[in-house]
Amino acid sequence: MIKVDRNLCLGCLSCSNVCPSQNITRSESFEKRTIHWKRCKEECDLCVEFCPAKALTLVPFDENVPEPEITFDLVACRICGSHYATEPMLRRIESVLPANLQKDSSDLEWIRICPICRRDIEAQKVTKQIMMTRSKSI
Amino acid sequence: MPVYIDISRCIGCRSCEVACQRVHGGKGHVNVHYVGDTASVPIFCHHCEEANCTLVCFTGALHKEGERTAFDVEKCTGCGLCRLACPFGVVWTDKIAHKCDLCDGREGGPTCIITCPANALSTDFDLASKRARSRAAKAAAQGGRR
Repeated sequence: MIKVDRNLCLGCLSCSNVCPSQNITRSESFEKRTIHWKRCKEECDLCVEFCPAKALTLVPFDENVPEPEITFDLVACRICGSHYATEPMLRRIESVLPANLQKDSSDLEWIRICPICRRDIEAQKVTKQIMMTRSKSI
Repeated sequence: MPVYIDISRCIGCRSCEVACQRVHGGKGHVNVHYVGDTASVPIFCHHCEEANCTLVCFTGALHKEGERTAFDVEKCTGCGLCRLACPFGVVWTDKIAHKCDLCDGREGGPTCIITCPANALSTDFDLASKRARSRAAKAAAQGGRR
């Protein structure tokens, strides 16, 4: 059986993806992601091995222990408001990346912005550069 | 070697998007973004020298191979950290991660470059910088530099 350390789990997609027996299920709504670990009898430790947070351990099977389940609120993008990540995942990224890479040249905390808005911002930046040369040639 | 864009040439036709999807089994890694009516910009992986996606990847699936930010599908768990660590939003996770691989192994190089009808894409940094310099020189010659 799988034991989950709630303080360590990032709410990422790793264990539910690597489980060969579909014993770890994930359901996602607009604002929330729920991960559910079924009572598992398999002799396999892929989820333990591939947990980026080392939040999982294998413990002896016990019918009386409830199946662990964690629901994460998904963080809203600061620009468009779409819910795109769990808070622990974003914190993990903030802890891994060097501080000078966490803000762009205009001091924007891009980690708190969803990938679609990040692409939009990049497009706007590049366009600004080209508009400068366009106005010069008029 | 990454793909460079000459935005002033891009006509926003999305041919690069389609070509990329065709080569990568329907999952494309180029997104053309439109900035009002003024410009269209294909956005894709920069193959950053110090790539954030490789820093957060805990299995080593994303790693540097020379100038290329390469991806080993066998090692990917699809955790989704790389998608959130890319400042340009050009790594996707669909069960497993996918991103620009510069059409690794494809004869003729990246398909987006060959497909682009406006010659806006190239792997030649010198060409991109030469065009930018000549535009600036032209602007100066026309007395437009203010």
